Amino acid sequence: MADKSLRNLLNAVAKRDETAFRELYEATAAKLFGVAVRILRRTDLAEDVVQDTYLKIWDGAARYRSQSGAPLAWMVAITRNRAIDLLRKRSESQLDPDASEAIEDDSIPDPFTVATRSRQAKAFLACFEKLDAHHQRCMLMAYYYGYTHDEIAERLGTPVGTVKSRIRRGLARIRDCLKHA
Amino acid sequence: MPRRDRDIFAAEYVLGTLPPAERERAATLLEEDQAFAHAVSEWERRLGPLAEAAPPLQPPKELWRRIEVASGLARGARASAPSDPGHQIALLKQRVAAWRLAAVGAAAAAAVAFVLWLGNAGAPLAPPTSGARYVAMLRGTEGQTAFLVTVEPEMERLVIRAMVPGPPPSKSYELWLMRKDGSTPATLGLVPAGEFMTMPVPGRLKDWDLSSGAQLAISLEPRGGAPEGRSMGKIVFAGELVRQTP
Repeated sequence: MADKSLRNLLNAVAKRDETAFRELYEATAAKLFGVAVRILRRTDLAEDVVQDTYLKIWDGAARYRSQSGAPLAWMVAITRNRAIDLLRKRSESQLDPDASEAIEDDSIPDPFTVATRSRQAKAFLACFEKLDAHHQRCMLMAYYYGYTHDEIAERLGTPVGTVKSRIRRGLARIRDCLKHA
Repeated sequence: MPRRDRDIFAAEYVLGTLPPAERERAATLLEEDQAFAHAVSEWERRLGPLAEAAPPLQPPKELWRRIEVASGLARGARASAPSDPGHQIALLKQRVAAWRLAAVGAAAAAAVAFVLWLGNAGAPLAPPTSGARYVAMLRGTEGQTAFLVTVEPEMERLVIRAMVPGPPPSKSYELWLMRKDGSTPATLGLVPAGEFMTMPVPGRLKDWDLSSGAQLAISLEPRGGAPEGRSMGKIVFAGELVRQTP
């Protein structure tokens, strides 16, 4: 759905329009659920996180503003944030015995394959493309899977220090590049 | 923290790579430091385009119903004008029905189990000298135990044990009785604050047949309760009434 219609829906939801709330859900739930499942690897927890996201939006605890960027990206940010919080809490308390519903898809989504790109996405990808492939990979693993520095290091067989500096350097370059975009 | 470091700290928070302790520090900073909060939302915007490549996955159908219930919406809620009392009652019934579907199914079973446990814990229960007693375990939509309510019609009182904190400052909890025959839900009054409370029961409750299955529900209302005794709020807790005495 186009950014403009999502924006209109979010504005209507802020005025407690129930039909708009339902439409917003229909238009965006699959995206948010996909994001949450990839990070949490559990569909039940992902459902909780997605529910939380919509309740925050409905209750106005999360309020969309035009400077928040693209509406869908803003909603994904809420979902990712909540999912990562949950993930950290769980790994901290070692509460992860039930992996029965784990999702097997281990592929890293490739942002360059997205056909229809928004203006923001074009600017971002132009900058992201300039990064070293190692930097890109570390950042994508973190973004889509919610891995910590340690987890990325372990999966790539690279020292943690290297992963940390790749991510930091990558982020700084993105910021500087977007400034000139 | 120098501005540049703080900005990268914000970026790592958004990306999600911070270890738990540092993530918590960032969350605190987010609440207290406006400049940091601004840096975080800037990074959410910058990295936002990555969301476009995230593969969608259709959530189960029940998820919308869960959200609908948790947000206090119900199907057909927009069917008639909100000021229509019939509409309000229908809405309340729908909400309880939707709640029942969402409430992990086990609320009634748990209430029965609890009653059995009560019976086993102490001396054999003497036959009631003052009429039947009923008990309901009220649970939230996530299945969490919230209130244990004992109805003692002869004593004209309800004994309430709260296991959750009170309502938000501008709100009140209101207790409703909903009979199986589908008649109008009746308010039993506002739930008093505190852990262990009693509430007077309207005398007419004595005449009501509770043994045929009724439900207690607590709604979240504007402070002071539902205007004109009709629920405007959402059902937050509910449970079946079970006869406690032989």
